[in-house]
Amino acid sequence: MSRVEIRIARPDERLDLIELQRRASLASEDEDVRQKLQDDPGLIDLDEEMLANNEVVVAEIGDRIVGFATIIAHEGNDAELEGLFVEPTEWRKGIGTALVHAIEREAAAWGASRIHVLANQNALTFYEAAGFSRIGEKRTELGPMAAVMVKPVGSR
Amino acid sequence: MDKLSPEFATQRAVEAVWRIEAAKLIAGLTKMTRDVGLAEELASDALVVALQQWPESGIPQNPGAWLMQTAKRRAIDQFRRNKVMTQKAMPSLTYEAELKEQEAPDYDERLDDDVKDNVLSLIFTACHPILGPDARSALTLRLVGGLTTAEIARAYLVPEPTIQQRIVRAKKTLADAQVPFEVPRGEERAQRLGSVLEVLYLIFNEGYSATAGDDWMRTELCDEALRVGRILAQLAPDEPEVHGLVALMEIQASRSPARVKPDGTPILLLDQDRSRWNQILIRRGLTELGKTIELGGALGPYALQAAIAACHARARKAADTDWKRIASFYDELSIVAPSPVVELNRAVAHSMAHGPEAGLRLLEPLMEVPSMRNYHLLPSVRGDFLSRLGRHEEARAEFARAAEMTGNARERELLLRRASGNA
Repeated sequence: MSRVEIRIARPDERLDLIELQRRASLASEDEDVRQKLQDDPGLIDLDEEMLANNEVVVAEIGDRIVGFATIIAHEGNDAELEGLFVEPTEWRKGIGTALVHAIEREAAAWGASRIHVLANQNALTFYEAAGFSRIGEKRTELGPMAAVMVKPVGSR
Repeated sequence: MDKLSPEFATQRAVEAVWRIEAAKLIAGLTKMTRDVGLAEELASDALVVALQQWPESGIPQNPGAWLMQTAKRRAIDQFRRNKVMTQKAMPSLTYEAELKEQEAPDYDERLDDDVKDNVLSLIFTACHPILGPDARSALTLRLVGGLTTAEIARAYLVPEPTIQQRIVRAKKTLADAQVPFEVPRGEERAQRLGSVLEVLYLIFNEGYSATAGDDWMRTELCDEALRVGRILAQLAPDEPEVHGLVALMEIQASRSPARVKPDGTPILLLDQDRSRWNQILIRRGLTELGKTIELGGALGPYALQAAIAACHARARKAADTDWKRIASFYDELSIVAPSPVVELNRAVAHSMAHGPEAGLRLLEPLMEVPSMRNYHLLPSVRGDFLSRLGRHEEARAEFARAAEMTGNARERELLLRRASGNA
């Protein structure tokens, strides 16, 4: 397999990323969420401001984008891995892990103490393997409960 | 980083968890035992147990609650053995340790009021004016930042026993003076808060422009000061100067990636590659500055310094810098927080806004100030003004004087190069 390259996303890639997110979400979510996403295509979006603010990183193989992740800097020392999407045909190739590491480096660069993520049931084992621990639950905007998972950001 | 052995990876994870949880843990234990020294020992014991057990058992789901339970259990064991505690404190401790339910998760660091109050009390205790500046810094890094004595010693380039002693003595001073574990109120609060901010900025600056050693920056100190500052801003959200200080530290820290060449030599502000400034930090800093101004604190000393830093952050190229605005912020600063160093920077800003002669004129009174006699930046800045005026001979003499005065090896090289006319 060719090398996975990680870089900051460009604003002009927004629509491609939204479509990638749609494919990844439809492949990973449970039936009722899938239904909601199909009924209302506008539910999937990517804030232009996040792109402008360098809060989106993409994974590329060759010159093809195969995944992306978004980070939000919250108050205090808390970073959120807000979204992580990998092209369904490219799953289980380490792309998600590479994106998590990129987000960790971003978070470390601004001095975050930890990253948290809201993980759906199907993503629990992925995040556990990536070093996250489950500390609670929270209801998501689309209805189902998500696990709140955290990972400390090593400072050096 | 990905090739670490599992044991070492767990150890790193334990240390990182500790960094996040230490303040809450020590604060909670101090509240119970009324003894910050004892609380620190109990917390450290719990960390040792975690380092032994977690590599085997895995990291628990709520590591903070686990550490707290373990520390409380050890506290009770110790009290039973030593009987040093009054009967009064025992029942509540026993009761709490027997609570099986884990504490509510606080995944976004939104702390409940009791925990907030405890951590805030801990910060005020560690920065108590009864302690000298070195003791306050070391204690804050240890108790609030969760650094080990070895890490603190490494950051300050002193032997570990020095830091150990400093912390032991500080804890004894606090105990002897029976400093109450509380958040000060009324007039005392403003004064004590000043001491807290001073300690944080001292730590930050020691990291940002290291006064000793071979490295120009020691970022771990900057990181820690910034982290504790952000916690403080959450705990005391109505204090404008807290936001002012955090804004200042965020914006200054944003330049870290651009301040040093790969070989370790410093790059001055105006020569830095601004595309390497960390934009997330800049945005956080501008947000914090906005909060300060909303709270009516625009003329606070930290807020003014942050406003100056923000002017630099907003200029995409060095040539775009609004020096007139910066000069007027320095004029304000020299009224609310007069100091020779502020005057020096004010001179620099005026030289950029109105020419080097204006700068030289503002430096005149500083030549007579005793505390500036050995301050390397005075001849260094003067040399800069003179060289811009074409008075190269005089300029070189000033750079040579500055090189003799600085304790930082990297800075000395830079100054010596300018003294020889090659920079």
